[in-house]
Amino acid sequence: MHLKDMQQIRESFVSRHSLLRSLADELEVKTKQALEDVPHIDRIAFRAKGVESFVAKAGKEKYPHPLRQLEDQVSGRVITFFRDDIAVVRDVLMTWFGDVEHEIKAPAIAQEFGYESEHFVFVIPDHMKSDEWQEIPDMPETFELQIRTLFMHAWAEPQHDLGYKGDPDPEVKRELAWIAASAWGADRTLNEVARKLSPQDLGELT
Amino acid sequence: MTAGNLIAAYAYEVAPQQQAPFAGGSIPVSDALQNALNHTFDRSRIDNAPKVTFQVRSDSANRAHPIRDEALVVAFDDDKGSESALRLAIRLAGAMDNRSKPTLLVVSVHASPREGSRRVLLWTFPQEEVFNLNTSSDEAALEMLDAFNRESKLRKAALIEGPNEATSMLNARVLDFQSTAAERAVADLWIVKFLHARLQMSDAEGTQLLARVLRATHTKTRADQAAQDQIGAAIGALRLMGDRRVSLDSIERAYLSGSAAATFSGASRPEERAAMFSIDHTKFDDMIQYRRFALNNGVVVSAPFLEVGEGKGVTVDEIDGDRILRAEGTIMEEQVRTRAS
Repeated sequence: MHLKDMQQIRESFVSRHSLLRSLADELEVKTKQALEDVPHIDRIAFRAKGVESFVAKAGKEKYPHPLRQLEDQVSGRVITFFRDDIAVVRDVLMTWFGDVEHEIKAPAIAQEFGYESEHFVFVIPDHMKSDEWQEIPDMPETFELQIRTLFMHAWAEPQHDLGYKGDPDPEVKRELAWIAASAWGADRTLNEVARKLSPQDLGELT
Repeated sequence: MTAGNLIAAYAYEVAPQQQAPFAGGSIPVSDALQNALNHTFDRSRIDNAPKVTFQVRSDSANRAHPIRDEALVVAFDDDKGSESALRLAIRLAGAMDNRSKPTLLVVSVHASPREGSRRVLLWTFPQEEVFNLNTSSDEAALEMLDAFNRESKLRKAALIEGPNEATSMLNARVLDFQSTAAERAVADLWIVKFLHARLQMSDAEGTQLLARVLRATHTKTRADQAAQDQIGAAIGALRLMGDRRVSLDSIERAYLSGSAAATFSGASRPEERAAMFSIDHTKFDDMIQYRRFALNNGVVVSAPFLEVGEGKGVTVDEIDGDRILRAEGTIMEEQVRTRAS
Protein backbone atom coordinates (compact mmCIF):
# COMPACT_ATOMS: atom_id res chain seq x y z
CA MET A 1 0.00 0.00 0.00
CA HIS A 2 1.34 3.46 -0.86
CA LEU A 3 2.53 5.79 1.87
CA LYS A 4 0.12 8.45 0.59
CA ASP A 5 -2.80 6.06 1.02
CA MET A 6 -1.75 5.27 4.57
CA GLN A 7 -1.58 8.97 5.38
CA GLN A 8 -5.11 9.40 4.07
CA ILE A 9 -6.26 6.39 6.01
CA ARG A 10 -4.66 7.74 9.20
CA GLU A 11 -6.35 11.11 8.71
CA SER A 12 -9.71 9.48 8.00
CA PHE A 13 -9.39 7.32 11.09
CA VAL A 14 -8.42 10.27 13.29
CA SER A 15 -11.36 12.31 11.99
CA ARG A 16 -13.85 9.55 12.84
CA HIS A 17 -12.28 8.55 16.15
CA SER A 18 -14.78 10.55 18.22
CA LEU A 19 -17.65 8.62 16.57
CA LEU A 20 -15.97 5.33 17.39
CA ARG A 21 -15.46 6.43 21.01
CA SER A 22 -19.13 7.43 21.26
CA LEU A 23 -20.15 4.03 19.94
CA ALA A 24 -17.84 2.32 22.44
CA ASP A 25 -19.51 4.28 25.25
CA GLU A 26 -22.97 3.38 23.95
CA LEU A 27 -22.09 -0.31 23.60
CA GLU A 28 -20.68 -0.35 27.12
CA VAL A 29 -23.92 1.10 28.51
CA LYS A 30 -26.04 -1.36 26.51
CA THR A 31 -23.91 -4.34 27.50
CA LYS A 32 -24.13 -3.36 31.17
CA GLN A 33 -27.92 -3.10 30.80
CA ALA A 34 -28.04 -6.48 29.08
CA LEU A 35 -26.05 -8.10 31.89
CA GLU A 36 -27.52 -6.21 34.85
CA ASP A 37 -29.24 -9.34 36.17
CA VAL A 38 -26.24 -11.59 35.58
CA PRO A 39 -24.12 -12.14 38.71
CA HIS A 40 -20.36 -12.61 39.00
CA ILE A 41 -19.32 -10.02 36.43
CA ASP A 42 -16.01 -8.42 37.32
CA ARG A 43 -16.00 -5.74 34.63
CA ILE A 44 -17.40 -4.67 31.28
CA ALA A 45 -15.30 -2.31 29.21
CA PHE A 46 -15.31 -1.07 25.62
CA ARG A 47 -12.76 1.04 23.78
CA ALA A 48 -12.09 2.55 20.37
CA LYS A 49 -8.87 1.27 18.82
CA GLY A 50 -5.90 3.60 19.23
CA VAL A 51 -4.67 5.47 16.17
CA GLU A 52 -1.16 3.93 16.08
CA SER A 53 -2.51 0.43 16.66
CA PHE A 54 -5.04 0.91 13.85
CA VAL A 55 -2.47 2.27 11.41
CA ALA A 56 -0.07 -0.62 12.13
CA LYS A 57 -2.80 -3.17 11.37
CA ALA A 58 -4.29 -1.19 8.47
CA GLY A 59 -0.98 -1.38 6.61
CA LYS A 60 -1.27 -5.14 6.21
CA GLU A 61 -1.87 -6.39 2.69
CA LYS A 62 -4.94 -8.40 3.62
CA TYR A 63 -6.84 -5.19 4.39
CA PRO A 64 -7.14 -3.25 1.09
CA HIS A 65 -9.94 -1.17 2.66
CA PRO A 66 -9.03 -1.12 6.36
CA LEU A 67 -11.47 1.60 7.39
CA ARG A 68 -14.37 -0.75 6.73
CA GLN A 69 -12.58 -4.09 7.04
CA LEU A 70 -10.94 -3.92 10.48
CA GLU A 71 -13.52 -5.29 12.86
CA ASP A 72 -11.82 -4.34 16.12
CA GLN A 73 -12.09 -0.56 15.65
CA VAL A 74 -14.56 -0.79 18.51
CA SER A 75 -14.20 -3.71 20.88
CA GLY A 76 -15.26 -4.79 24.30
CA ARG A 77 -14.49 -7.30 26.98
CA VAL A 78 -16.61 -8.93 29.65
CA ILE A 79 -14.69 -10.54 32.51
CA THR A 80 -16.47 -13.02 34.74
CA PHE A 81 -15.47 -14.50 38.07
CA PHE A 82 -16.15 -18.11 37.16
CA ARG A 83 -15.78 -20.28 34.06
CA ASP A 84 -19.46 -21.36 34.21
CA ASP A 85 -20.53 -17.71 33.92
CA ILE A 86 -19.10 -17.44 30.41
CA ALA A 87 -21.99 -19.46 28.98
CA VAL A 88 -24.54 -17.28 30.78
CA VAL A 89 -22.97 -14.08 29.43
CA ARG A 90 -22.65 -15.61 25.96
CA ASP A 91 -26.35 -16.54 25.84
CA VAL A 92 -27.51 -13.08 26.92
CA LEU A 93 -25.25 -11.20 24.51
CA MET A 94 -26.09 -13.47 21.57
CA THR A 95 -29.74 -12.61 22.24
CA TRP A 96 -29.05 -8.88 22.36
CA PHE A 97 -26.68 -8.62 19.40
CA GLY A 98 -26.51 -10.40 16.05
CA ASP A 99 -23.36 -12.53 16.02
CA VAL A 100 -21.52 -13.12 12.76
CA GLU A 101 -18.50 -14.86 14.21
CA HIS A 102 -17.97 -16.92 17.35
CA GLU A 103 -14.76 -18.69 18.18
CA ILE A 104 -13.67 -20.42 21.36
CA LYS A 105 -9.95 -19.80 21.66
CA ALA A 106 -8.06 -22.56 23.40
CA PRO A 107 -4.80 -24.44 22.93
CA ALA A 108 -5.00 -26.85 20.02
CA ILE A 109 -3.77 -29.93 21.89
CA ALA A 110 -4.64 -31.23 25.36
CA GLN A 111 -1.05 -31.18 26.66
CA GLU A 112 -0.69 -27.46 25.94
CA PHE A 113 -1.62 -24.55 28.16
CA GLY A 114 -2.08 -21.09 26.72
CA TYR A 115 -4.50 -18.40 25.69
CA GLU A 116 -8.18 -19.04 26.43
CA SER A 117 -11.11 -16.73 25.65
CA GLU A 118 -14.36 -16.60 23.69
CA HIS A 119 -14.23 -14.19 20.76
CA PHE A 120 -17.23 -12.73 18.99
CA VAL A 121 -17.89 -10.43 16.07
CA PHE A 122 -21.28 -8.73 16.33
CA VAL A 123 -23.12 -6.42 13.92
CA ILE A 124 -23.34 -2.82 15.15
CA PRO A 125 -27.09 -2.15 15.45
CA ASP A 126 -28.30 0.85 13.49
CA HIS A 127 -30.03 2.36 16.50
CA MET A 128 -26.68 2.68 18.27
CA LYS A 129 -25.15 4.75 15.46
CA SER A 130 -25.50 8.52 15.34
CA ASP A 131 -26.87 10.35 12.30
CA GLU A 132 -23.33 11.54 11.54
CA TRP A 133 -22.13 7.92 11.39
CA GLN A 134 -24.56 7.24 8.55
CA GLU A 135 -23.14 10.09 6.47
CA ILE A 136 -19.52 8.91 6.48
CA PRO A 137 -18.46 6.26 3.95
CA ASP A 138 -16.61 3.10 4.93
CA MET A 139 -17.61 3.07 8.59
CA PRO A 140 -17.28 -0.40 10.15
CA GLU A 141 -20.35 -2.63 10.30
CA THR A 142 -19.15 -4.83 13.15
CA PHE A 143 -17.47 -4.78 16.56
CA GLU A 144 -15.53 -7.39 18.51
CA LEU A 145 -16.21 -8.72 21.96
CA GLN A 146 -14.28 -11.11 24.21
CA ILE A 147 -15.61 -13.02 27.19
CA ARG A 148 -13.17 -14.58 29.65
CA THR A 149 -12.67 -15.25 33.34
CA LEU A 150 -10.43 -13.32 35.72
CA PHE A 151 -7.80 -16.06 35.61
CA MET A 152 -7.88 -16.28 31.80
CA HIS A 153 -7.43 -12.51 31.75
CA ALA A 154 -4.71 -12.56 34.40
CA TRP A 155 -2.63 -14.77 32.14
CA ALA A 156 -3.60 -13.29 28.77
CA GLU A 157 -2.93 -9.63 29.42
CA PRO A 158 0.68 -9.68 30.69
CA GLN A 159 1.49 -12.58 28.37
CA HIS A 160 0.44 -10.43 25.45
CA ASP A 161 3.25 -8.02 26.28
CA LEU A 162 5.77 -10.59 27.51
CA GLY A 163 5.61 -13.32 24.95
CA TYR A 164 3.27 -12.71 22.07
CA LYS A 165 5.11 -9.88 20.36
CA GLY A 166 8.63 -11.24 20.58
CA ASP A 167 10.31 -14.63 20.43
CA PRO A 168 11.36 -15.46 24.00
CA ASP A 169 14.04 -18.06 24.74
CA PRO A 170 12.94 -21.63 25.59
CA GLU A 171 13.30 -21.11 29.36
CA VAL A 172 10.97 -18.09 29.28
CA LYS A 173 8.55 -19.99 27.04
CA ARG A 174 8.48 -22.80 29.59
CA GLU A 175 7.89 -20.34 32.44
CA LEU A 176 5.04 -18.75 30.49
CA ALA A 177 3.52 -22.19 29.91
CA TRP A 178 3.79 -22.88 33.67
CA ILE A 179 1.96 -19.61 34.42
CA ALA A 180 -0.73 -20.56 31.88
CA ALA A 181 -1.11 -24.00 33.46
CA SER A 182 -1.33 -22.46 36.93
CA ALA A 183 -3.97 -19.97 35.79
CA TRP A 184 -5.94 -22.79 34.13
CA GLY A 185 -5.76 -24.87 37.32
CA ALA A 186 -6.77 -21.98 39.55
CA ASP A 187 -9.63 -21.08 37.19
CA ARG A 188 -10.94 -24.62 37.16
CA THR A 189 -10.64 -25.05 40.94
CA LEU A 190 -12.32 -21.71 41.63
CA ASN A 191 -15.19 -22.78 39.38
CA GLU A 192 -15.51 -26.07 41.30
CA VAL A 193 -15.57 -24.14 44.59
CA ALA A 194 -18.28 -21.84 43.23
CA ARG A 195 -20.40 -24.87 42.28
CA LYS A 196 -20.19 -26.16 45.84
CA LEU A 197 -21.27 -22.87 47.41
CA SER A 198 -24.92 -21.89 47.72
CA PRO A 199 -26.29 -19.00 45.63
CA GLN A 200 -26.63 -17.02 48.88
CA ASP A 201 -22.93 -17.44 49.60
CA LEU A 202 -22.10 -16.42 46.06
CA GLY A 203 -24.56 -13.52 46.20
CA GLU A 204 -22.09 -11.59 48.29
CA LEU A 205 -19.68 -11.69 45.36
CA THR A 206 -21.99 -9.92 42.90
CA MET B 1 -33.23 9.41 -4.12
CA THR B 2 -33.36 6.72 -6.78
CA ALA B 3 -32.56 3.03 -6.69
CA GLY B 4 -29.34 3.68 -8.63
CA ASN B 5 -28.37 2.78 -12.18
CA LEU B 6 -29.90 -0.57 -13.04
CA ILE B 7 -27.28 -3.23 -13.81
CA ALA B 8 -29.37 -6.41 -13.92
CA ALA B 9 -32.87 -7.60 -13.12
CA TYR B 10 -34.56 -10.96 -12.65
CA ALA B 11 -38.22 -11.81 -12.08
CA TYR B 12 -40.01 -15.02 -11.12
CA GLU B 13 -43.64 -15.87 -10.47
CA VAL B 14 -43.76 -17.69 -7.13
CA ALA B 15 -46.66 -19.64 -5.60
CA PRO B 16 -46.69 -20.98 -2.04
CA GLN B 17 -44.80 -24.26 -1.68
CA GLN B 18 -44.25 -24.35 -5.44
CA GLN B 19 -41.78 -26.86 -6.81
CA ALA B 20 -39.79 -26.28 -9.99
CA PRO B 21 -40.24 -25.16 -12.73
CA PHE B 22 -40.59 -21.44 -12.03
CA ALA B 23 -41.73 -19.06 -14.75
CA GLY B 24 -39.34 -16.16 -15.16
CA GLY B 25 -35.68 -15.34 -15.55
CA SER B 26 -33.43 -12.46 -16.52
CA ILE B 27 -35.20 -9.27 -17.61
CA PRO B 28 -33.52 -6.98 -20.18
CA VAL B 29 -32.45 -3.68 -18.66
CA SER B 30 -34.34 -0.76 -20.19
CA ASP B 31 -35.12 2.84 -19.39
CA ALA B 32 -38.76 1.88 -18.76
CA LEU B 33 -37.76 -0.77 -16.22
CA GLN B 34 -35.25 1.58 -14.59
CA ASN B 35 -37.94 4.27 -14.27
CA ALA B 36 -40.48 1.82 -12.88
CA LEU B 37 -38.03 0.52 -10.27
CA ASN B 38 -36.95 4.06 -9.35
CA HIS B 39 -40.58 5.03 -8.83
CA THR B 40 -41.24 1.95 -6.69
CA PHE B 41 -38.06 2.59 -4.71
CA ASP B 42 -38.98 6.23 -4.03
CA ARG B 43 -42.54 5.40 -3.04
CA SER B 44 -41.42 2.69 -0.66
CA ARG B 45 -38.80 4.87 1.11
CA ILE B 46 -36.90 1.68 1.73
CA ASP B 47 -33.63 3.58 2.01
CA ASN B 48 -34.89 4.77 5.42
CA ALA B 49 -36.58 1.53 6.45
CA PRO B 50 -35.51 -0.35 9.61
CA LYS B 51 -32.51 -2.67 9.37
CA VAL B 52 -32.41 -6.35 10.16
CA THR B 53 -29.30 -8.44 10.74
CA PHE B 54 -28.80 -11.66 8.81
CA GLN B 55 -28.38 -14.68 11.04
CA VAL B 56 -25.19 -15.92 9.44
CA ARG B 57 -23.47 -19.16 10.40
CA SER B 58 -21.15 -17.65 13.00
CA ASP B 59 -19.08 -20.82 13.12
CA SER B 60 -18.41 -20.78 9.37
CA ALA B 61 -15.32 -19.14 7.92
CA ASN B 62 -17.24 -17.31 5.20
CA ARG B 63 -20.25 -16.20 7.28
CA ALA B 64 -22.56 -18.39 5.25
CA HIS B 65 -26.17 -17.28 4.90
CA PRO B 66 -28.83 -18.31 2.36
CA ILE B 67 -29.77 -14.76 1.32
CA ARG B 68 -26.44 -12.97 1.77
CA ASP B 69 -24.61 -15.62 -0.26
CA GLU B 70 -27.04 -15.24 -3.18
CA ALA B 71 -27.04 -11.43 -2.91
CA LEU B 72 -23.24 -11.38 -3.24
CA VAL B 73 -23.41 -13.59 -6.34
CA VAL B 74 -26.25 -11.61 -7.94
CA ALA B 75 -24.41 -8.34 -7.26
CA PHE B 76 -20.90 -9.29 -8.32
CA ASP B 77 -21.03 -12.33 -10.62
CA ASP B 78 -23.05 -11.45 -13.71
CA ASP B 79 -22.76 -14.97 -15.17
CA LYS B 80 -24.40 -16.64 -12.17
CA GLY B 81 -27.05 -14.04 -11.38
CA SER B 82 -29.94 -16.01 -12.92
CA GLU B 83 -29.12 -19.16 -10.95
CA SER B 84 -28.95 -17.20 -7.69
CA ALA B 85 -32.21 -15.38 -8.40
CA LEU B 86 -33.90 -18.72 -9.10
CA ARG B 87 -32.61 -20.11 -5.79
CA LEU B 88 -34.14 -17.06 -4.08
CA ALA B 89 -37.47 -17.82 -5.80
CA ILE B 90 -37.33 -21.44 -4.61
CA ARG B 91 -36.58 -20.26 -1.07
CA LEU B 92 -39.47 -17.79 -1.15
CA ALA B 93 -41.88 -20.50 -2.30
CA GLY B 94 -40.80 -22.65 0.64
CA ALA B 95 -41.26 -19.76 3.10
CA MET B 96 -44.80 -18.92 1.91
CA ASP B 97 -47.69 -20.86 3.40
CA ASN B 98 -50.78 -21.80 1.44
CA ARG B 99 -52.73 -18.76 2.65
CA SER B 100 -50.38 -16.50 0.66
CA LYS B 101 -51.28 -15.40 -2.85
CA PRO B 102 -48.92 -16.00 -5.75
CA THR B 103 -46.36 -13.23 -5.92
CA LEU B 104 -43.84 -11.72 -8.31
CA LEU B 105 -40.29 -11.85 -7.00
CA VAL B 106 -38.13 -9.15 -8.58
CA VAL B 107 -34.39 -9.14 -7.91
CA SER B 108 -32.64 -6.04 -9.19
CA VAL B 109 -28.98 -5.00 -9.03
CA HIS B 110 -28.05 -1.33 -8.99
CA ALA B 111 -24.96 0.82 -8.81
CA SER B 112 -24.33 2.15 -5.31
CA PRO B 113 -23.16 5.65 -4.43
CA ARG B 114 -20.62 3.97 -2.12
CA GLU B 115 -17.28 3.08 -3.77
CA GLY B 116 -16.91 -0.59 -4.66
CA SER B 117 -20.44 -1.34 -3.50
CA ARG B 118 -23.56 -2.56 -5.20
CA ARG B 119 -27.19 -2.58 -4.24
CA VAL B 120 -29.41 -5.63 -4.43
CA LEU B 121 -33.14 -5.11 -4.10
CA LEU B 122 -35.51 -7.99 -3.46
CA TRP B 123 -39.16 -7.17 -4.07
CA THR B 124 -42.30 -9.22 -3.82
CA PHE B 125 -45.46 -7.88 -5.44
CA PRO B 126 -48.54 -10.00 -4.62
CA GLN B 127 -51.07 -11.02 -7.20
CA GLU B 128 -54.35 -9.12 -6.85
CA GLU B 129 -57.54 -8.90 -8.84
CA VAL B 130 -57.90 -5.75 -10.91
CA PHE B 131 -60.50 -4.43 -13.34
CA ASN B 132 -59.66 -3.75 -16.94
CA LEU B 133 -62.02 -1.64 -19.01
CA ASN B 134 -61.85 -2.95 -22.55
CA THR B 135 -63.13 -0.43 -25.11
CA SER B 136 -61.54 -1.93 -28.20
CA SER B 137 -64.80 -3.34 -29.56
CA ASP B 138 -68.15 -1.60 -30.12
CA GLU B 139 -69.22 -2.44 -26.61
CA ALA B 140 -67.21 -1.50 -23.54
CA ALA B 141 -66.40 -4.54 -21.40
CA LEU B 142 -65.23 -4.83 -17.83
CA GLU B 143 -62.74 -7.65 -17.43
CA MET B 144 -61.32 -9.14 -14.23
CA LEU B 145 -57.58 -9.70 -14.39
CA ASP B 146 -54.98 -11.03 -12.00
CA ALA B 147 -52.00 -8.69 -11.81
CA PHE B 148 -48.94 -8.20 -9.63
CA ASN B 149 -49.58 -4.96 -7.78
CA ARG B 150 -46.51 -2.85 -7.11
CA GLU B 151 -48.45 -0.52 -4.78
CA SER B 152 -49.96 -3.34 -2.73
CA LYS B 153 -49.92 -3.01 1.06
CA LEU B 154 -48.77 -6.62 1.10
CA ARG B 155 -45.65 -5.94 -0.97
CA LYS B 156 -42.33 -6.57 0.71
CA ALA B 157 -38.79 -5.48 0.01
CA ALA B 158 -35.22 -5.87 1.22
CA LEU B 159 -32.32 -3.58 0.35
CA ILE B 160 -28.89 -5.16 0.70
CA GLU B 161 -25.89 -2.97 -0.04
CA GLY B 162 -22.14 -3.20 0.20
CA PRO B 163 -18.89 -4.33 -1.38
CA ASN B 164 -17.92 -7.93 -2.01
CA GLU B 165 -16.21 -8.45 1.35
CA ALA B 166 -16.54 -10.57 4.47
CA THR B 167 -17.52 -7.53 6.52
CA SER B 168 -20.35 -6.38 4.26
CA MET B 169 -23.93 -7.29 3.36
CA LEU B 170 -24.49 -8.55 6.89
CA ASN B 171 -27.76 -6.67 7.20
CA ALA B 172 -30.63 -5.36 5.11
CA ARG B 173 -33.19 -2.60 5.20
CA VAL B 174 -36.63 -4.14 5.19
CA LEU B 175 -40.07 -3.04 4.13
CA ASP B 176 -42.88 -5.25 5.41
CA PHE B 177 -46.23 -3.81 6.43
CA GLN B 178 -47.16 -7.20 7.87
CA SER B 179 -44.23 -7.36 10.28
CA THR B 180 -46.47 -5.86 12.98
CA ALA B 181 -49.29 -8.35 12.37
CA ALA B 182 -50.80 -9.96 15.45
CA GLU B 183 -50.35 -13.43 13.99
CA ARG B 184 -46.71 -14.40 14.28
CA ALA B 185 -46.66 -16.65 11.23
CA VAL B 186 -47.72 -13.72 9.06
CA ALA B 187 -45.38 -11.27 10.77
CA ASP B 188 -42.40 -13.60 10.47
CA LEU B 189 -42.77 -14.68 6.84
CA TRP B 190 -40.48 -12.10 5.23
CA ILE B 191 -37.92 -11.27 7.94
CA VAL B 192 -37.60 -14.55 9.81
CA LYS B 193 -38.56 -17.31 7.37
CA PHE B 194 -37.37 -15.90 4.04
CA LEU B 195 -34.59 -13.47 4.96
CA HIS B 196 -33.44 -15.57 7.94
CA ALA B 197 -32.80 -12.35 9.82
CA ARG B 198 -33.46 -10.80 13.20
CA LEU B 199 -34.57 -7.35 14.17
CA GLN B 200 -31.61 -5.26 15.27
CA MET B 201 -33.21 -4.39 18.59
CA SER B 202 -33.76 -7.58 20.57
CA ASP B 203 -36.98 -8.08 22.51
CA ALA B 204 -35.03 -7.87 25.76
CA GLU B 205 -33.34 -4.62 24.80
CA GLY B 206 -36.53 -3.08 23.43
CA THR B 207 -38.56 -4.05 26.49
CA GLN B 208 -35.93 -2.62 28.81
CA LEU B 209 -35.80 0.60 26.79
CA LEU B 210 -39.60 0.90 26.72
CA ALA B 211 -39.87 0.41 30.49
CA ARG B 212 -37.15 3.00 31.14
CA VAL B 213 -38.81 5.52 28.82
CA LEU B 214 -42.23 4.95 30.42
CA ARG B 215 -40.75 5.34 33.89
CA ALA B 216 -38.99 8.59 32.90
CA THR B 217 -42.21 9.91 31.32
CA HIS B 218 -44.23 8.92 34.39
CA THR B 219 -41.79 10.68 36.72
CA LYS B 220 -41.52 13.87 34.66
CA THR B 221 -45.29 14.27 34.24
CA ARG B 222 -46.13 13.52 37.87
CA ALA B 223 -47.99 16.86 38.24
CA ASP B 224 -49.98 16.36 35.02
CA GLN B 225 -52.97 14.11 35.74
CA ALA B 226 -54.02 13.81 32.08
CA ALA B 227 -50.53 12.65 31.12
CA GLN B 228 -50.47 10.20 34.04
CA ASP B 229 -53.81 8.77 32.93
CA GLN B 230 -52.51 8.30 29.37
CA ILE B 231 -49.39 6.54 30.62
CA GLY B 232 -51.46 4.27 32.86
CA ALA B 233 -53.77 3.41 29.96
CA ALA B 234 -50.81 2.79 27.65
CA ILE B 235 -49.21 0.43 30.16
CA GLY B 236 -52.50 -1.41 30.57
CA ALA B 237 -52.84 -1.86 26.81
CA LEU B 238 -49.20 -2.89 26.33
CA ARG B 239 -49.51 -5.53 29.04
CA LEU B 240 -52.30 -7.17 27.02
CA MET B 241 -50.73 -6.72 23.62
CA GLY B 242 -49.40 -10.22 22.96
CA ASP B 243 -46.24 -10.50 20.90
CA ARG B 244 -47.17 -8.03 18.16
CA ARG B 245 -44.11 -5.98 17.17
CA VAL B 246 -43.96 -2.37 18.30
CA SER B 247 -41.58 0.58 18.31
CA LEU B 248 -41.40 3.60 20.60
CA ASP B 249 -42.77 5.63 17.68
CA SER B 250 -45.74 3.31 17.16
CA ILE B 251 -46.55 3.30 20.89
CA GLU B 252 -46.43 7.08 21.03
CA ARG B 253 -48.73 7.37 18.03
CA ALA B 254 -51.21 4.83 19.38
CA TYR B 255 -51.51 5.85 23.03
CA LEU B 256 -50.05 9.26 23.80
CA SER B 257 -50.67 12.89 22.93
CA GLY B 258 -49.81 16.35 24.21
CA SER B 259 -47.30 16.59 27.04
CA ALA B 260 -47.22 12.82 27.58
CA ALA B 261 -46.20 12.27 23.95
CA ALA B 262 -43.60 15.04 24.03
CA THR B 263 -42.05 13.76 27.26
CA PHE B 264 -42.10 10.15 26.03
CA SER B 265 -40.42 11.16 22.78
CA GLY B 266 -37.75 13.17 24.59
CA ALA B 267 -36.82 10.29 26.87
CA SER B 268 -35.07 8.26 24.15
CA ARG B 269 -32.53 8.93 21.41
CA PRO B 270 -33.94 9.59 17.91
CA GLU B 271 -32.07 6.56 16.54
CA GLU B 272 -33.90 4.25 18.93
CA ARG B 273 -37.47 5.31 18.26
CA ALA B 274 -38.16 3.48 14.99
CA ALA B 275 -36.52 0.20 16.03
CA MET B 276 -39.05 -2.65 16.18
CA PHE B 277 -39.25 -5.29 18.90
CA SER B 278 -41.77 -7.52 20.67
CA ILE B 279 -42.50 -6.92 24.32
CA ASP B 280 -41.06 -9.48 26.72
CA HIS B 281 -44.04 -9.42 29.08
CA THR B 282 -42.33 -10.98 32.09
CA LYS B 283 -39.51 -8.47 31.87
CA PHE B 284 -41.93 -5.62 31.19
CA ASP B 285 -44.06 -6.37 34.25
CA ASP B 286 -40.94 -6.75 36.35
CA MET B 287 -39.57 -3.39 35.27
CA ILE B 288 -42.85 -1.52 35.30
CA GLN B 289 -43.67 -2.94 38.72
CA TYR B 290 -47.34 -2.81 37.80
CA ARG B 291 -49.32 -3.83 40.84
CA ARG B 292 -53.06 -4.26 41.24
CA PHE B 293 -54.54 -5.20 44.60
CA ALA B 294 -58.28 -5.95 44.89
CA LEU B 295 -59.30 -5.71 48.56
CA ASN B 296 -62.16 -7.53 50.31
CA ASN B 297 -64.06 -4.22 50.70
CA GLY B 298 -64.19 -3.63 46.96
CA VAL B 299 -61.38 -1.09 46.92
CA VAL B 300 -58.82 -1.55 44.18
CA VAL B 301 -55.31 -0.18 44.60
CA SER B 302 -53.37 -0.19 41.36
CA ALA B 303 -50.51 1.74 39.85
CA PRO B 304 -47.44 1.31 37.69
CA PHE B 305 -44.04 1.80 39.30
CA LEU B 306 -45.66 1.06 42.67
CA GLU B 307 -42.97 0.36 45.24
CA VAL B 308 -44.12 -1.65 48.20
CA GLY B 309 -42.30 -1.51 51.53
CA GLU B 310 -41.52 0.55 54.60
CA GLY B 311 -41.28 4.26 53.77
CA LYS B 312 -42.78 3.76 50.29
CA GLY B 313 -46.36 4.64 51.26
CA VAL B 314 -47.72 1.18 50.57
CA THR B 315 -47.00 -1.81 52.78
CA VAL B 316 -48.21 -5.39 52.66
CA ASP B 317 -47.97 -7.38 55.90
CA GLU B 318 -48.94 -10.95 56.65
CA ILE B 319 -51.16 -11.14 59.74
CA ASP B 320 -52.85 -14.36 60.85
CA GLY B 321 -52.57 -15.83 57.36
CA ASP B 322 -54.07 -12.77 55.61
CA ARG B 323 -52.11 -10.28 53.56
CA ILE B 324 -53.04 -6.79 54.73
CA LEU B 325 -52.43 -3.76 52.55
CA ARG B 326 -51.90 -0.32 54.03
CA ALA B 327 -51.68 2.76 51.82
CA GLU B 328 -50.84 6.15 53.15
CA GLY B 329 -50.16 9.42 51.36
CA THR B 330 -51.33 12.95 50.80
CA ILE B 331 -54.31 13.33 48.46
CA MET B 332 -53.28 15.56 45.59
CA GLU B 333 -56.56 15.41 43.68
CA GLU B 334 -60.02 13.98 44.20
CA GLN B 335 -62.44 13.09 41.46
CA VAL B 336 -66.00 11.86 41.65
CA ARG B 337 -66.75 10.17 38.38
CA THR B 338 -70.33 10.33 37.15
CA ARG B 339 -71.96 9.56 33.88
CA ALA B 340 -72.58 12.64 31.79
CA SER B 341 -76.29 13.43 31.91
